[in-house]
Amino acid sequence: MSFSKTIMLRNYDGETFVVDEVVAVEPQTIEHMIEDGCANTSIPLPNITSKILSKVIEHCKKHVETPNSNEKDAKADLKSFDFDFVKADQGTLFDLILAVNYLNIKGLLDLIYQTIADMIKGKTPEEEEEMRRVNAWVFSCFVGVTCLYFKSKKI
Amino acid sequence: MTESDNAPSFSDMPEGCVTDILSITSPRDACRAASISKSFHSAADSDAVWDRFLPLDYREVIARAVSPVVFESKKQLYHRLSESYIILDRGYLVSQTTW
Repeated sequence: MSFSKTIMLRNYDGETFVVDEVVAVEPQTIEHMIEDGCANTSIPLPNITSKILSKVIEHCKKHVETPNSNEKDAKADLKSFDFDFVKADQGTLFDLILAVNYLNIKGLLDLIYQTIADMIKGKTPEEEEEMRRVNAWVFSCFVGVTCLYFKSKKI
Repeated sequence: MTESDNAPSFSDMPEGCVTDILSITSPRDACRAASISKSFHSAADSDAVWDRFLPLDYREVIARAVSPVVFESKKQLYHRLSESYIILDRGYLVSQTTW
């Protein structure tokens, strides 16, 4: 029976998450904290809620646990996981950007950036006008208009 | 700390995140994003975004220009290079890049 080393993460809500070290070091920020000897008790993440931290850990765990091979099935499985992962409401996506940017998880950040970039790309003039009209909520509008567009097209 | 039930605010997002997102769209999308609001204008017009739209060898290309290629921003350089010809290599080569 082997024991893997675990790391405790304590977040904004005061909740503690115990994760395997191999998963915890996916975020470079945490990896550096461990290297600097800051992980003797728990690692504080005061700017991340439980909901968001759970999602981040879920993503890190999946990518650590999936074999790093060129096997078609493994790649397809990860792709499908990532596709479902970013199907979140605008608020969650926004909170994820802030958290993942802080935690410095390149792969996940690239995934979320690409998701939002795909929402921005190639808007029709009518969709742009809608965004300008409510530009006080410009970021949520990008996502909202795209969702409405996709919903109307039943995509 | 932003929560999903509070409306997200653009001002909360680091400008670096916005430029990273816009730099993987397209020049057309970045131009459009610049017209949305003042906040997006700053990010969408930044050198950080337009540097990603220029080809990797643009410095070598403009170094070979017969007349100096003057620009105040990467966005301006992009438009300069995509809208007109520049003569390279003492007039033996003409270049207009379409990106």
